[in-house]
Amino acid sequence: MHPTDKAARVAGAVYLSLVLTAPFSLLYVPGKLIVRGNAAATADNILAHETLFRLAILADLVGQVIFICLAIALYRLLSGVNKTWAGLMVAFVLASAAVGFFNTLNDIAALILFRGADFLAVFDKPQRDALGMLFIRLHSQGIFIDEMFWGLWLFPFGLLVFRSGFLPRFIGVWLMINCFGYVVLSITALFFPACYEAAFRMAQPVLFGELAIMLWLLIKGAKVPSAAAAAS
Amino acid sequence: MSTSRVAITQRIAEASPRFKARIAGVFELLEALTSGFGQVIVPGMLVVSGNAAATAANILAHGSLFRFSILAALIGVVCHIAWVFLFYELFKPVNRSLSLLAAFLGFVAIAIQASSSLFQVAPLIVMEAGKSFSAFNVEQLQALTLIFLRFSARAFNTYLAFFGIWCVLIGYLILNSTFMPRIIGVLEAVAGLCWLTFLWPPLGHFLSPYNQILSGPGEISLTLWLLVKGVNSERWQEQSLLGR
Repeated sequence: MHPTDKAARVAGAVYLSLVLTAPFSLLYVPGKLIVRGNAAATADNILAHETLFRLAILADLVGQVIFICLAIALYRLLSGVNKTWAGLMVAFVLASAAVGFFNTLNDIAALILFRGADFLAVFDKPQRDALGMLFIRLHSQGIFIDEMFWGLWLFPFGLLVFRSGFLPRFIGVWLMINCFGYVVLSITALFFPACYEAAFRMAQPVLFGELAIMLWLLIKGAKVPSAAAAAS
Repeated sequence: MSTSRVAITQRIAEASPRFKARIAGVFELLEALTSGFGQVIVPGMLVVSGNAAATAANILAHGSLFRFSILAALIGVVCHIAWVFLFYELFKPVNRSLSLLAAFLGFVAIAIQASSSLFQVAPLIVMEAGKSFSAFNVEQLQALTLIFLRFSARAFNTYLAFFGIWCVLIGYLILNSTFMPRIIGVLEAVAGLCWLTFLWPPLGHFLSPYNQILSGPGEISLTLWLLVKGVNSERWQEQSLLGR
């Protein structure tokens, strides 16, 4: 196998592991445990399924590590196209991972408050629940902020795919549009939180750019012209 | 045909350090403006130190200004990433490992800067939560708001300290470069030392605004030089060939 093709398949496999694990902590567990606008019910759910909640925190942390590995794998694949853009892509991913790591602290704070250690006895239970809910909300706000970086790294990535010559150009364009999709979502969450869910649903076709490149890398790999064809 | 193509490629390669330097200058300027607006000017307008009620009233009265300040802070973070990254590329010929070390320190600083803006979101959650927070009375909610704004300010101080170390390293790299004036390196290192005083916030605040004023010449001269002059491309190429 050609080294570039191999690098593409490795990046595709790392990407797949991210696509498989991220929905667990981002969608499944919050959807199951968090009752919007009801701190007491959320606290009860999380205490009843504490292990699940802790697993989501762990998955969140592991996801950030995979994201960094993905950036390195893609750097190996695409740094030959343009080192500066490839480096910028890695820099955005590192910032995103740092925000993501820091953000898990909010979930841990919520858990501490819901469990209510003895030093927290000075607060009533409804107050502890409300404070815990604040940190749960802060965690989801942190995700909205991180969306800015989930978007931005896709611009250099898309540009490199477009210019590479061994990956389809339309996916490169799709990824660059995907970049703006996330950036717009992040700004929507900040200014028009009520419209966020509708915006997220509408953005789906744009956000599938990442799924497209993941599948392409994994299944098709990199189409490198053979040595004989290049020589002629 | 192919020779002209080679010539064009060479011209692009030669122009690139100057072009990169100019772009770095643009991002430095944008970062200073957005981050200054989002994390210094607007909080300075709205936060009344030691008065939670007045602070909360200010934020409620200027809701969209407050949201804009968070967005500006985030845009500042994005510009800072591009700026730090381009500086790594620019100063690689001077000392590759030191330039990489500066970039790592810069990214740690940026991560703290981003966390600091995350704390700015908390007051919005507290104020708009409604029913979930009925267990607290108004004074308690206002106190919670102020706590998070103080977290944000403290995190920003920590960011400034890390940023200071980055500035000192960049100052040293400029001093040892052949493609930028040495005086800017000295001024930038002085600016870094000023930011480093925020490592111990009481000291940083005791010296304020003199430490901020003293950091001005370094930051301003660096930004202007990059925007107007960029770097000396021939000398940059020379130094990068020598390093190899």
